[in-house]
Amino acid sequence: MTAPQTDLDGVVLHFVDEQEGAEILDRQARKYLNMSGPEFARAFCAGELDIEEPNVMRLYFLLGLAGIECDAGSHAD
Amino acid sequence: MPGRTPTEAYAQFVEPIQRALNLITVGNFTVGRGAQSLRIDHPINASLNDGEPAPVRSSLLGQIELTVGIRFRITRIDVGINSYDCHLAEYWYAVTRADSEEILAFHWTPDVIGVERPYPHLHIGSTVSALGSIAPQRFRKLHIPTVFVPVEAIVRFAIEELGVEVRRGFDRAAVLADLASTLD
Repeated sequence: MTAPQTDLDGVVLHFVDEQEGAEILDRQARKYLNMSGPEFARAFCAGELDIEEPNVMRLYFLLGLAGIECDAGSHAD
Repeated sequence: MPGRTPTEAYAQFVEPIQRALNLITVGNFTVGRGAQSLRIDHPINASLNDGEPAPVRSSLLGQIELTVGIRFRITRIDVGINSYDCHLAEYWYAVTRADSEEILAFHWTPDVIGVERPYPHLHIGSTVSALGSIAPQRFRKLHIPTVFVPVEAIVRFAIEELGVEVRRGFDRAAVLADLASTLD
């Protein structure tokens, strides 16, 4: 099942695989929280970070791009 | 949105979001593809510009930024000829000043284990609330319940209430009419 794309001149769909997603997560985690992507994933999944903080929220929505899902306090990827 | 196939359900969900965002900004809507493309019953992430705020010009607020992050799922259903549905599962929309200080933030993150408020809610940012005389330090932390807010509603809010201009080539009245037909 390959997702279709709609090409518009403004906002374009950009599909990423898990490796590319991990790179995005790592880049943004270093930029916004001064930690690596894996460090963010570990800390978030361990419940050490507050989802209500804007930059934590921002990175939470990038976790799945890297194929990372938290499961009952553990770090699953 | 339902579809006969996962791909159709996905397209009927994502494409209106892409079209709505395209009305007011440019950039990438980054979607996690995963190793197996579109997976059933598995959350799929999407973020505008990899989580970077998108600058837009508001006639009400001046230069502001819009951030959009969502998670959605494709699920199997049996409704007539439609066997699959694609729906929003979580979201984060933030309207911020040019220095990234929050003005408004819409949250819905029921999948986060231990989340304090799993229902959709709104925060009034301290850039606004700290200026008032009612609990100025505390007000931004209030979780104001809202209905479920789709991305298209935020785009309409930006255009209709914040005075964000639609991009060149789009007619504001026609855009708002289209959004109304989608949302209302």
